[in-house]
Amino acid sequence: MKIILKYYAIIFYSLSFLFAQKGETIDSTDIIVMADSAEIYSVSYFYEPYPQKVGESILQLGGSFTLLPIPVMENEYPAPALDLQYKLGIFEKISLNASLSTNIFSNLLHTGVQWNINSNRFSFGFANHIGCFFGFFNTEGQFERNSAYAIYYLPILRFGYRLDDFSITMSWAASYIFKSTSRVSGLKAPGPEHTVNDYFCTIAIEQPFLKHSLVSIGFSLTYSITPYQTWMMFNTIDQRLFIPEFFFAFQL
Amino acid sequence: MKIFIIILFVAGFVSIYPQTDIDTTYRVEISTTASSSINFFRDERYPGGPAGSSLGYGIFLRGMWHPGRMLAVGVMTGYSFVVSDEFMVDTVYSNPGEEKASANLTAIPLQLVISMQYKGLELGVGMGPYLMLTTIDYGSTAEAQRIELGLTFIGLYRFSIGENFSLGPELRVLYLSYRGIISVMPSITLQLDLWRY
Repeated sequence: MKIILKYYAIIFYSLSFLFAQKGETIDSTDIIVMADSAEIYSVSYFYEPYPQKVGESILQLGGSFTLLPIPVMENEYPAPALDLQYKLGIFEKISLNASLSTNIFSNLLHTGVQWNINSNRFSFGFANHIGCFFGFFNTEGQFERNSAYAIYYLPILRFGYRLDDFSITMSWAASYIFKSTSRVSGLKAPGPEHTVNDYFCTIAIEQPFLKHSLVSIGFSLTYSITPYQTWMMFNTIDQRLFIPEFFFAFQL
Repeated sequence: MKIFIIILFVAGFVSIYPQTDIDTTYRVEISTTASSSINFFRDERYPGGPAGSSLGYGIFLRGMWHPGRMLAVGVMTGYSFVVSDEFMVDTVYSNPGEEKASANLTAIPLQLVISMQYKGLELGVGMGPYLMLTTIDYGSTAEAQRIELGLTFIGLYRFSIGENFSLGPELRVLYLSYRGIISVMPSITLQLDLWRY
């Protein structure tokens, strides 16, 4: 009986060895990872609201391309921007988030705390951000010095789902402007105040890339009366417009 | 018994280890697809003309760098014949009546593509410019070209047909926002794994 068991074990493990080695390369999509293993959750992403470890931080650098609205610009202009994002786990389910988007002429900064919770692979987050916008544009001619600023509140709802090889997150946000002002060569004009100016819907896919990098890619759709990227344009359209944006970022 | 334990330990360890490793094979993939297309227009196809839809065709070539994992990046180009219209134009300066005119629109994508591949399934999006070529034939031929932004959505499933080749059905949707044109292309894609390293 022992001999039978011995040979059975040898054949069984040899076969498992052979099957595990089939093919010349290892396909990442064939990686066997147990659904609830810690390996799936050992990485943290910026957009996904999965609770972070306390003290763990994420710094992301990337870029975005925003298609400015044709009714305002009268043509198609993809506006590029550099994005810097930071996330720090300060308590078990609370993280500190900050985001900066700049293309020199238009700068958007917002920061706040985010409450994160998860149930197995699903995660949910609610963030309260305070932000500011600042833009300046100097040119020669009649309107030499132009600038604008705004201060706003930005609540964000995030819904994330972690799969074995990537995570997908949908975020909904709205900006409520406390105060905004624009200046054109010394002439000061109030902008929208005490109103909801933008609604944002963002879908982000975050995953490993190359051997040890993590990358976020996604698409955002903004529904706005006064798109901040077009602040220097003379906007005569008093209606909300859709502004699509593609973004990517690498964890540093 | 010692041999049995050693075999158990070594074989068990080796059989598990490759399954938890990551894909470190980088690939350069070339794929091509060609098919007819159905094009839907938001606006008039020519001044005073209909919107509606048209039949066209397209052929596309895509080169992707797939560094393991799921994400791949690459570039895409091709040729998409969107519409050809013939219509009558009222003559003004010559004899009263109507003369036949024709107008063609083609699009050449020069786009960056990002896709995610899971087993045979691939979902991707191409972003960037389309070179729009317009030809109007009315007595003489006038040609114009303009760069416009567009999106190309790609979804396909591949079956391996050889060591480096795969073939499968693809659904491709082109969106040209400025003109409000949506082109739907159900097609077949042939892919070659050009280089593995």
